[in-house]
Amino acid sequence: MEALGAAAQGISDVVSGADRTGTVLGCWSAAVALGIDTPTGRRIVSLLGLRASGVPNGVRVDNAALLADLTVGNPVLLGSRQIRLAGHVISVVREYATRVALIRLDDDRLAAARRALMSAKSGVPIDRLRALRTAVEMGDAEATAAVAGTLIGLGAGSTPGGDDVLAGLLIGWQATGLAADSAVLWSAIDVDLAGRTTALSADLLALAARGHAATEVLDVLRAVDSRSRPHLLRPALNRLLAVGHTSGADLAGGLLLGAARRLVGASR
Amino acid sequence: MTEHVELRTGVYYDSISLLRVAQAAAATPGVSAAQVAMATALNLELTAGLGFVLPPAAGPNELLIALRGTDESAISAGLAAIEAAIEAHARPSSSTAGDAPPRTVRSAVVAEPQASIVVISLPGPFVPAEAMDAINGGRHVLIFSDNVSLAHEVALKTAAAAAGVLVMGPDCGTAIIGGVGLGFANAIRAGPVGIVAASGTGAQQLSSLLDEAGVGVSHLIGLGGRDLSAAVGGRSALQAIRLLQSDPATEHIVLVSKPADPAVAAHLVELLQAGPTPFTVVILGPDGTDLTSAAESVLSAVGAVAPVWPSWGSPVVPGGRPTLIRGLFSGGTLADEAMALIGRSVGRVRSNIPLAPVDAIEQGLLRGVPQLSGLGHVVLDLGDDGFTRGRAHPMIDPTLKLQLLQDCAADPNVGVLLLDVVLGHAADPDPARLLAPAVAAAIAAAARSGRELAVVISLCGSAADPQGRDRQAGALAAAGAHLFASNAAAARAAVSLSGHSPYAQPSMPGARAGLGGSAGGGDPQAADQGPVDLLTTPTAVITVGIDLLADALRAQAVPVLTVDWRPPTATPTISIRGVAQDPLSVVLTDPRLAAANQQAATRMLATQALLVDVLPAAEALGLSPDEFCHAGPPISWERASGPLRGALIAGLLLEGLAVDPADAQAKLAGGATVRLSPCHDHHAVGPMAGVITPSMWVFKLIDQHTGAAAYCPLNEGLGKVMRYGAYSPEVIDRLRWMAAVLGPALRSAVRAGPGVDTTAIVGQMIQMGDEGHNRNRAGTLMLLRELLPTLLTSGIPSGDLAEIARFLGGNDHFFLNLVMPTGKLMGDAAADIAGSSVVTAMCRNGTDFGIRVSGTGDEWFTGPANYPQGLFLPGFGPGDANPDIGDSAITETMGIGGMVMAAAPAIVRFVGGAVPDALATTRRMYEITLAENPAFAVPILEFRGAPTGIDVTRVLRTGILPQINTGMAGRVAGTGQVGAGLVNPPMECFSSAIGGLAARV
Repeated sequence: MEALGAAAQGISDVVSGADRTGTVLGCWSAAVALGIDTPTGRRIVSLLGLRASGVPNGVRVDNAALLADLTVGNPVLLGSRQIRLAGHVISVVREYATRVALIRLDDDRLAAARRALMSAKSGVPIDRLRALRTAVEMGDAEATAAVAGTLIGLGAGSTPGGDDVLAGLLIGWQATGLAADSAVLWSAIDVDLAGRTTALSADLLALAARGHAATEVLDVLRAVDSRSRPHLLRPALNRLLAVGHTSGADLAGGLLLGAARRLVGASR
Repeated sequence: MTEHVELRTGVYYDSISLLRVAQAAAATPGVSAAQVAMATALNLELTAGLGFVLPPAAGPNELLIALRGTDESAISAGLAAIEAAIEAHARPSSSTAGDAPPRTVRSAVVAEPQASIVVISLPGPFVPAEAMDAINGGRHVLIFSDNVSLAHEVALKTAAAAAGVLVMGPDCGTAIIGGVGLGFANAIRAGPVGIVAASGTGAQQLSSLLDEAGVGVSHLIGLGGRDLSAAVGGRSALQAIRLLQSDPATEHIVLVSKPADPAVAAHLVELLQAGPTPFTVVILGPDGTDLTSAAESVLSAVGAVAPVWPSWGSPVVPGGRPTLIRGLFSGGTLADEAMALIGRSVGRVRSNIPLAPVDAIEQGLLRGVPQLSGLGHVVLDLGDDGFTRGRAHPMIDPTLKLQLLQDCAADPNVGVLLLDVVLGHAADPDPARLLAPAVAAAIAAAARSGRELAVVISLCGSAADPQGRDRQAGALAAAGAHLFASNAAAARAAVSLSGHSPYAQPSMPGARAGLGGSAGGGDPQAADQGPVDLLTTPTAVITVGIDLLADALRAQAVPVLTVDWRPPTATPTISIRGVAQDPLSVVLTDPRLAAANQQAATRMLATQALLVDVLPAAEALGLSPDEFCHAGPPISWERASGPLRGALIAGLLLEGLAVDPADAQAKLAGGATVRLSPCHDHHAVGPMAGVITPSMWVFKLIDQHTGAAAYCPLNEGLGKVMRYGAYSPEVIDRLRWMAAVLGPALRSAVRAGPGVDTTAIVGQMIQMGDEGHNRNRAGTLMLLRELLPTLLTSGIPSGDLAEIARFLGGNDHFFLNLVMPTGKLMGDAAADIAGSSVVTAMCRNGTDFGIRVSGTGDEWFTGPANYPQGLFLPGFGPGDANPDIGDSAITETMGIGGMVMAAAPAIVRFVGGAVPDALATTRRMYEITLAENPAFAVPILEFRGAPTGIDVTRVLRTGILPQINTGMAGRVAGTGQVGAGLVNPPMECFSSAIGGLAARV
């Protein structure tokens, strides 16, 4: 079969670069994860349907039947904007943005977003979230790294809730000018990742550390930016909360915690 | 030679699809001429120009096929090729498989809630209606079409700003939103530069050069060529700039435009200066900058380095003896830029889009294939309106360009040919296929006559474009062309090759750069963002018009919902203030329309009908002894149909005004005995003949919110009854019993209770298999349940009670006569709203079908009633049926009956249909109605509300008529019911109503 695909900006180096080999790592009802071997290590490419979430390692494909025809272990050849696997070819014909930009945070909208999030279901026990919040709000890098260590791989599914929270936190910091804090935390948890969480989740955390997030996350960031119009916030937040089982809520939780950090620092 | 000319009705294809069909036919062996086009005046003229004899009554809504071939077999083969090409054109149009495709943008917006953008490429006059649908649906619009009037452009942009959405266009050829190319757009990487463009190919050149330098684009928002004119005032540019200023991913804004109104440009610069984002303004003009310098300036502003812009082919060696340059362009801005650069070096350049009026080429020389010899240096924009009427854009169809290439090559004074090739989505998938051999042939032809001909190509595209830019360049270079990614470089090369000295370019004289202010830009109150977020990756796109644009989106892996659009029903023009105008356009652009219709729909849906009394018509309607009511619009005895005549005879007998039927008939023909008037004039409705005489008893319903009243006589049951035109003694006896026993008994029962909420019963019956017109079984039983307690305790003699119970129990249609006044209250609630195009009544008198419309008050718009199509009772056939009759089409007016056929599967066979037809019918009715009534929910459609509020403009736009299901009366007076079936109103009711509405605008 042949299909057309839209690839995340976060993997444009892998998609457009030289041919690399890999395998199908996992197949779910609406998603397939590919492991691609690159000189800098294994990268993950998520194959999804056209209307799926705009994940930062995703290729959204216009032929769902092709996805259904894949099985774990299928060899993959990826490069020059083509993915060849199990006799099928996916041509990448466009790119969707995943790079996080600096925002100008609107305090009121951030508060509104955090209020809206209170009723959302998290995939992480509440005490861990509180511990993280306390450490982040104290601006205590060591304590933050310690709590973060307990969150890695915590929760169910292919992207455990604890990882989602951390990815959100890294993005929230980078979007609000705290890239250094993001780099410090990433260096603390990066060494601890292997074997503690799924390959897919580790890849998304690494992308977050490099400043790439899902379309839905970018839309929420734009909506809490003081330059945008306030009515964007609610629909953007709803779209993010609809991602995954609890992934969207945990990404949002980490994101808003990260975004709020500088405010706390300023008030102290 | 043999010719074949035919017209096909009921089909519509866009001009580009038909061009492909015609090309397929023309390529058939033995076919010497082929024209396949919608029969517009222009296409008819073109076809006549080919020597075909045209059919007399061809109109723009018909498909014209004209073939000329060597013999019959060639014609047959050509027709077969046409069928095959049309078949290939047919494709599943949407992601909502199984449903009929939407017929208007409004239904598409409902069907595809994830679409943030609607792309419209219809013929210009049809754009405003669809664009308003998109704006009202909270979606952003890209109008690819030209020929949209300036007044409409301003009106659309004003409405869009108020609704918080953006209109790109009209005549907007390109945009890139969230990485998705709309129209002609190149495959550009994501990045920090946001572009606002009132120049299509200008924006393509700029974004392609940035991409080449490794700098991507966040969004490219097209405006259309007129946005920066004084008349439009930069309405869309203001919104677009504010949007990009609010986008964190946009780190630098570029405003690029063809020559703009200075005041508008200054205002935009002010907005940019006040905003937070650094910017560059590029206004092109004779003394301005070029796009390549502008790109370099932007690159420098974002901290990137301009590369050596790519070129292909052998090195340019300056020519010796000066020769003439001929420029053949598809892109207007590229032509403008080339003309300016060439003009500065060689002097005067003639053109169809001259930089100075004095350089214009006479129109006479431009007709057909332009005659350019003797004109000096020439640059043509082949994409200009003058060349694209009746012909596809040269980016899609290069035929004219190739012909001119050949002609110019043969001109001994021409030394340099300068062409553009624009790549990207929607453009020719392989331009080099035809162009490379043509270039090689042109060079060879010149060489044979001892000349050197240089061919220079400006290749506008990105490395990732679907055509493969480098492959195209390689093929064209191999044919002998010099190619440049920079249009300015191509123009300078052309100058150099022609033996002239290129003009030295000062750095960016026409570009203005700025850093932006620190505060947020613009007016914080301005509604510059929509309910739907524009600046995200579009999940889906709605298209209406050219299939090519939908295909280009699908080729980018974007889900597309295409609207199955057809030209609206033609209506006679009306004279307004001495100017002949299309009444539909007049009404659609009436600024009152949307709010008036909203109000009408709201009032209809708010109606809560309550049965409060049963009383004689003389008392209820104030009828004098010689006054009879009838169904439908006004009619005289002379024009009355059989059933109406029969019912009137029964009325005279009932009222004792005639001794026998013959006497009654004579008196009615004489005209002096009774006065006739429509039930509707008395806030009443009557089924079938609908005759109400003073002594007949009627139900009285009121609207609980407004107190308005409506009336309907008691239902007589089936078989030989007055309403079907029967007047035998049993009919008269039953009517007398109803007045003497049934009416008073029901009055006692109703008055003893709190009233019967008929709106609530209608809501329940729709969920119980009734549709409220031809099936009222559940409704009748629920009415009985309501009335029985008070009926039993009313003191009525038990014999009478038993008779009443037998009568009501034996008549499934008893509740119809309560559904109808419930609907009458809804219709009346929506009446008399100035500017509203909602139908408030549909009814028939057996001869005429009549409608009333909210905005035209009590005026009737009539046409001949149709014959229902359906099943006949044993012993009857089509010859026995009367045309459609009765006020019962008030049920369809209120949104039930035939409109909700899907709710009543048991009845579809009775009226000669099938269940899938019923589902399709009801879904279709949403195309022509304004609202969905949650009180009347259709279970099989996931409890979707009944399609309510028939809109005259939507009936005309879609050609879809309201569906009515109805009983059939015998055409001979006294016959009674002969069957049941389906029927539609005549279209002329709606086409005359639109005239009435337009006259009141």
